[in-house]
Amino acid sequence: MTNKYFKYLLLAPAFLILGTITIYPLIRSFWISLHEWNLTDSLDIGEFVGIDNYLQAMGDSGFWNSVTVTLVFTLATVFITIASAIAVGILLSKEKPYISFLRAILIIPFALSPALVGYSWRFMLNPDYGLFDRIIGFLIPPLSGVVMLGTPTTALAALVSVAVWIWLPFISLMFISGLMGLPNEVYEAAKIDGASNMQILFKITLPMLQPIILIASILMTMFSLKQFDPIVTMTSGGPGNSTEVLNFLIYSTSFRYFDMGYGAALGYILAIMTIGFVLIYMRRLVKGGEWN
Amino acid sequence: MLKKSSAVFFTGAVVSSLVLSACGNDSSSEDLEGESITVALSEGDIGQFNAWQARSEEFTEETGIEVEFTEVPYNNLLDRITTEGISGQGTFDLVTHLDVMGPSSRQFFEPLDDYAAEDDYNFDRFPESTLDLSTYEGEIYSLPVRANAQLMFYRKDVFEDLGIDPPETWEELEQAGETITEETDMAGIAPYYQAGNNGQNLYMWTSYLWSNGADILDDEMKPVFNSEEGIEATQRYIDLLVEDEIATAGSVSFGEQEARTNFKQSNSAMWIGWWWVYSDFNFSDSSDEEVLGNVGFTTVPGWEGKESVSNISTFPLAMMKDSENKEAAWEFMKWLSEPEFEKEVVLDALNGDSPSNQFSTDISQTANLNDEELNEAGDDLFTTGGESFENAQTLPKFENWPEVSDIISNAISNMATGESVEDNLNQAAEDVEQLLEEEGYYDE
Amino acid sequence: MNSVTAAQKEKQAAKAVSTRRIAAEVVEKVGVLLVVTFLFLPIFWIALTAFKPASEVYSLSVFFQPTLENFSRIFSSAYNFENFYFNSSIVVFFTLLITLPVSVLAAYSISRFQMRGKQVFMFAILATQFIPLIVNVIPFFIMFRNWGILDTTLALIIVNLGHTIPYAIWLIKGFIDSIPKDIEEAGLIDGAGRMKVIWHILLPMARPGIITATVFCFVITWNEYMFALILTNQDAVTLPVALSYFVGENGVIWNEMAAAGMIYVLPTVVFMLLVRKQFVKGMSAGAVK
Repeated sequence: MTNKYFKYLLLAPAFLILGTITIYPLIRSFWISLHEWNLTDSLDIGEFVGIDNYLQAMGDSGFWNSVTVTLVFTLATVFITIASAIAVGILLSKEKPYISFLRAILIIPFALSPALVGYSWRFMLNPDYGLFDRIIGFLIPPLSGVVMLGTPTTALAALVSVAVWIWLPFISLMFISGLMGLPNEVYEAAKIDGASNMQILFKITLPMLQPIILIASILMTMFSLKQFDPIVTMTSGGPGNSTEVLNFLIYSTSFRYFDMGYGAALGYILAIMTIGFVLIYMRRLVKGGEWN
Repeated sequence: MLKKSSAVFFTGAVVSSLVLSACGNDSSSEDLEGESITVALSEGDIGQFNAWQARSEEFTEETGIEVEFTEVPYNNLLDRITTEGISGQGTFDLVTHLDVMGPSSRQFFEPLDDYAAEDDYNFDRFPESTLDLSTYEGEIYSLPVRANAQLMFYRKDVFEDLGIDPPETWEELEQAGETITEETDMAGIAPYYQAGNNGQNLYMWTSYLWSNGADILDDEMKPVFNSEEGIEATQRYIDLLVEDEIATAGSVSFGEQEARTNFKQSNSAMWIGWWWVYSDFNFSDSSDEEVLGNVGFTTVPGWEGKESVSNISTFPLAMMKDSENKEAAWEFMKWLSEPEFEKEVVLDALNGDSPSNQFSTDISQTANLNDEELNEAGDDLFTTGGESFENAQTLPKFENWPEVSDIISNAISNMATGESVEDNLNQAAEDVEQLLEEEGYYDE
Repeated sequence: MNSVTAAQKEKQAAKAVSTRRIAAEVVEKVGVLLVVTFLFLPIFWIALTAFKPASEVYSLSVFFQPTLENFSRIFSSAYNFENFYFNSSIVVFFTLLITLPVSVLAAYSISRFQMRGKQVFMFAILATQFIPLIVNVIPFFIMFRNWGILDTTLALIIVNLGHTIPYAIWLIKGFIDSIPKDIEEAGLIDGAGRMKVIWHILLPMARPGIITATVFCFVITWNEYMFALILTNQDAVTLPVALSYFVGENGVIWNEMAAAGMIYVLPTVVFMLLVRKQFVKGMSAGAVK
C-alpha cells in the first residue's frame, strides 16, 4: 500500500472542492477591498487605492461603534451559550426515555430559520401583545414598563438571548455526544474515592470535554461574529445604532450605500478579528496536546 | 346606485379594451408577439400587484406578449436589483422599487423619454410631485404607478364619543391625544420611531419639520435640519412620546407596520402615514372589530399659523437597461398606466367585483384622483389624497441620500429613547456635513 | 444500646443518602423544566399562532377556534410552497451526499497521519469561512453567471459545499481524535486494508460525531438565505427565501409565517427522531472500547 500518498489521497477531494469553490470569490473580494468602487459612480471596479479603505475604517466612528457592539455581543453569546450548554449537556446525557425524546426535539430552535426567529422574538417582545414582554414584566417587575427593544441595553440583551436560544440546542448536543462517550469507569472510580459532584465536574468532566469545548467555542465565535439575519429582523441595529453589529454595517455599506470597496474592506477586517479569536483558541488546542 | 355605476363602468371597460386592442394592432407590437417579459414585484400580498398579475392575461391576449412575474422579498428588493444590474444579466425586464432606491439604482434603468416621444405617451397623467421622484437630471426613469400620499387616520367612533374634531394643527393633535389618553384606555397616537427600514421614521418627522418652515438640506446641500425651527419641530415630534406621553409606549421600538398593528388592534386612536393603508384599516381581517369601518382620514396636521405639508412616496416601475425585450416591456408599461386600467382595478375592488386578494385603492393618476365615480365609491379618499399630492414635499434624492437618511434615522431613534434632541440633531448635522464633504458635494 | 445506635446511624445515613438523592432528582427535574421552558415556549407560541385565524393573531389568549386555513393557504397556488420544499430538499440531499464522505476521509487523514503543514491546512480550511457571506455575494454571482448556472439548484449545492465541508471536517476530526488508535491498528495487523478499517471499525465508532456534523450541515444548508436570494429567481427558490414572502409592505403576515415555520422545521425534527437510536447506539459503541 502506498501509504505515503494515501493520506493525501484522502484529503484530495476536500481540497479540490474547496479550492474550486472558495478561492476565486475570496481573492476577488480581497481585490475589491483594495479598490475604490462606488457602484453609484460606476458599474466597473474603480482605481487601485491600496489599503486606503482599511485606513478609512480606522477613522470611522460608526465602524468603532460596530466593533464594540460586535465584541460585546460575541463574548456574551459565546460565554453564556457554552456555559449553559455544558449544564444542559450534563442534564440531558442521562439514559431515560423522556430525556432521549427531549434530545431528539432539542434541535428545533436551531433548525428554525434565523430570520423567522428574529421576527418571532420581535413579535413576542412587542409591548402590546408580546408574550415575553408580559412574562418579563411579571418576573422582573422593574422591567415591566420598559420597552425591551426600545433601550440600548435591553435590546442588546434581547439579541444575546436570541443568539443563545438558537445555538444552545446544537452546542448542547455536541456536549451530550461528548459526555455519553466518556467511559463510565472513570466516574465510578471517582465516586468510590469519595469525590463530590463538584470535584467530578471540575476535575474529570470538564478536562475531558476540553477538545469539544474548544471546537464549540470556535464554531460559536465564528458564527456570532457574523450573526446577521436575526439581528436585522429583530432590531435592524436599533435603537439608534446601539445594536449595529459589524456584519450589519458591512451589509449597509455594500448594498445600501453601494460602497463596495469599503464594504469588502470591512469584511476583511471582520475576518482579521475572527483570525484573532481562532488563533487564541488554537493555541489552547496545541497546549492541551490535542493538536497532534 | 352601485349597480348603475358598475354598469357604466362595464361599458367603459369594454370601450377602453376595444381602444387598447385597436392600438395594439396598428404599430410595432405585431412583431413583439411571442416575446416574453419578466416583471419583478415586491412580495407581500399587495392587492395592486395581485391585480396586475391577474389581469396581465388581457394584455397577453391583446399583444401576444407573455408576462411573467417574479416576486422578490420586500426587504431584499434593492439587493436583487443591484446584483442583477451589476451582472448585466437581462433576467428582469421591469422592476418595481421604492423611490429612495432610485438615485442609486437608476444607472441600471433605461430612461423612458424616447419611448414616450415615439408613442406620444404623456407623462402628465401623473401628479408633478410623484413624477418628480422618477426624474433624474431631466430624464424620466420610471412610472410612478404606485404612489402614496401621507394622510392622518383617526378613529371616527372615538372622536365622536369624546366630542372632539379631527385635528388640523399639531396643537389640536396634542390636545386630542391628551383627551384620548385620559378618557379612554387607548394611547392618543401610534408613531414609529424605530431606525432603519429605509428611514421610515423620517416621514412623520418631515411633516413636522416642513410645516414649521424648516428643511433637511439647503440649496448648497448643507444640513439645516438643526436650525431653530428644525429643533423646535423635532422636539415636538419626539415629545409625543417623551414629554406629552400621548404616544403609545412601544412606539420607540415600532416600525411603521407595528405602529399600524397597534392602531388596528384599537390600542391607539390616531395614525399618520401612507394612504393605501386605508383599506387595510377598514377592511382587513387583521383589524379589530371596533376598528373596522370606523377609520376616518384627513390631511396631515400643520403648524399653527403655517401650512400643512405632507410627504409623498412612490413605488415606481422601471425598465432594466439590460433588458432584451425593451419594446415589449414598454408596451406593458403603457398598458399598465392607462388611466382606465387603474380605475378599473380600484373600482372593481371597491364594488366588491374582484377577489379580496386584489383589493387595492391605489390611484396614481390625476384624472382618477378627481374622478367622481371613484370618489363616490371611496368616500372621497382620492380627492383628499390628491390634495396631499399637491401640498407635498418630497425627500431629497441624490446618491448619498441613503446614508444621510440613516444618520438622521438613527438620531431620531436615539432621541425617542429620551436623549437630547438638540445634541443629537447637531451631531447628526455634523456627520451629514462631513459625509457630504468627503463625497465632494461642496467642491467648486 | 450500641447496636441500636449503630442501626439508627445506619438508618440516618440511609436517610441522608436518600434525601440527597431526592434533592438531586429535584434539581435535575427543575433544571430540565427550565431548559424546556426556555427553548420551547417560543416554539409553542409559534405553533399556536400557526393555528390562529388572522383576527386572533394579536391576542394573548390560548383559547381560540383553531383553523387549518393557514396551512392550506401556504400550499395554495398563491405561495406554492411545495416547490420550494422540493428545491430545498434537493439542495440539502446532494450537499450532504457529497459533504459527508469527503469530510470523513479528510478528517480521518488529518486526525491519523503526520504531515507537514497540517496546522496551516486546518487553519486554511476554517479561514475560508471568516469572510461574511455578503462580501462574497457579488463575486459568486459573477462566477455562476459565467458558468451559466444561475437559478439552478446546482449553484446552491456548490455554494453550500463551500460552507459545509470545512465545518464538517473540523467537527468530525474532533470526534475521530477521541477514538483510540489501537483498535484500528489491531485491524490493520489483521491484514485489513485502510479503507476497510475506516468502513468497518472507524465509521461505527465515529457515528455520533458524524451524526452531529450531519445535523449541523443539514441545518446550515436548510437555512441558507443570502445566496438562495441572490442566485435564484423562479426555478430554484428555496424555503428560507419563500419564508420572507410573508413579510411585505403590509408587515409580517404572522399566522401564515408561523404555519410556514412549522412546516419548515419538520424535516429536521423527523431526521432527529429517525437517528435518535443510531445516535445512542453509536455513542455506546464508542464508549465500549
